[in-house]
Amino acid sequence: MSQRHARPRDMLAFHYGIVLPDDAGDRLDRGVARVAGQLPGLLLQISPGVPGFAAQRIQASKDG
Amino acid sequence: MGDVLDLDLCAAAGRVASGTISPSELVSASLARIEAAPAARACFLRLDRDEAVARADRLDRAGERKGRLHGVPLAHKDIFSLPAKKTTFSAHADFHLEGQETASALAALDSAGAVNIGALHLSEFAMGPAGWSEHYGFLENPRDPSLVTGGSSSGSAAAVARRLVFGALGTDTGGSIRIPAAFCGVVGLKPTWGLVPSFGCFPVSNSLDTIGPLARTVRDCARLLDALVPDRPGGRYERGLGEKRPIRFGVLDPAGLPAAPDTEVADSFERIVAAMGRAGLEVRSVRMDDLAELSALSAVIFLTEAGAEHAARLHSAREKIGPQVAERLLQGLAYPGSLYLLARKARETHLETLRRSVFSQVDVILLPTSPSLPPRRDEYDKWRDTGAILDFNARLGAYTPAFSFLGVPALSLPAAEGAPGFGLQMVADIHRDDILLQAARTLESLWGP
Repeated sequence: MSQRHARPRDMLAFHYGIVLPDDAGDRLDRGVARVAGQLPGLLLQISPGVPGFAAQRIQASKDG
Repeated sequence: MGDVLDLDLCAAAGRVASGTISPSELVSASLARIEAAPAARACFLRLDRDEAVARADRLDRAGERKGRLHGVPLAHKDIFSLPAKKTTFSAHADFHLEGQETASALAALDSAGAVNIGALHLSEFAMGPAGWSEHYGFLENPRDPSLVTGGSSSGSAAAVARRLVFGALGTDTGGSIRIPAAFCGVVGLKPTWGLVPSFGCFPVSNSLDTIGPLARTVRDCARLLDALVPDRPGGRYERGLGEKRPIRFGVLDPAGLPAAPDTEVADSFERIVAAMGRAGLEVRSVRMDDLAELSALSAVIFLTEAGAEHAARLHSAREKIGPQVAERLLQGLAYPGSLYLLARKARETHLETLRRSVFSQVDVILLPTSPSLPPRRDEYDKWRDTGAILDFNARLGAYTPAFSFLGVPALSLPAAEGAPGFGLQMVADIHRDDILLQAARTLESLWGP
């Protein structure tokens, strides 16, 4: 299996031994693609200077 | 005796405090109504009748009130552990858990004097906005039995709406308190993530799971939240309802919604905003253009964590999990780890954006809880075993997961101006649960006492 071109269903088979029938595999691939397709600029949303969520949470709980 | 169940939680607790009714009388009334009708009994996956009667009897004889929930019958989503009780999660019998320690949320309510009547129906493994369980089916919506209750805290919303108990705990990972609250016409509060301790609550997605109350009124929810947050003594949230702080309401521009609302939902929302204007409240329009993206980020975190939680079950006993739940869990296993970690990191950036662009101008954001009114059960049944139901579910829950992702407090409020089954979603900044409740009480008082 080519990791580079692996479909989500292939990842499930490779990592977890879960092999899906074609129709379920198609739906899985579409579902993953639909969500991931809404996040094209994910890396651009994360600034190296922004503190991690945990640090912010601690500050917020102090403020709260 | 039956009429006492028409009181709200705070009024019932007041009757107990004044000695005009005893905990045993309240619990007897509650049990009688539960056992009088099959649709009411169906809200309960487990009815702890003997324990509730014994507990009420002890509270009758107690020298002093245990707390502000003394003698008040409650019931909770069947996702919280109790010693010597089976927790089902509405899942296959092979997955039920038994012999766990008392969940911290149940212990907190116990300390405040509440009486736990039993464990309530939910969507299988607390996943699914319609309220469907492959193993326990649907509940009837108390307003119209042909409609779904919403989920996943289906039994919590239905039991409160049927006035079987005065309040109930639910959990909300992507809308599971807010959606059934809207569909059943009760108040549902998802507090700030992490505010209510979650020990003993079966996880769906630890980074998003939030325990919160459903009740008849905002004040009832505030009182329950006070009991659930042990490090904030003194009734902070209920007391805060009386503050005269002016609230700045922000109406979300519909152009930013990730799915267009149905006509009845859009009309309901417009009527509410118009009523707020007539009442002289400060209302302005706000925009959030990243709701669809936030929902996708929420889905990555939700499904990855849920997939990992259920990985062994998926591997060895997938046929015992309902197909629509299994399919979403498998999706979670298939996301790359880097995507999950980046989604978690992106939360901080989006929260800062929201604070800068919206919460600098308003205290509370308003939008519908769901783009749809509750759908018919037979409509759902028609699609239940196909992939189409996942799209159907995604639409029901299109407006709630973004705020789960951000960790901010959110609440669904029924409104006289809205169509039956419409919920007004209200959202505040992290740890401003007090402002959220105060704002909700302000609106509640526009169309009720």
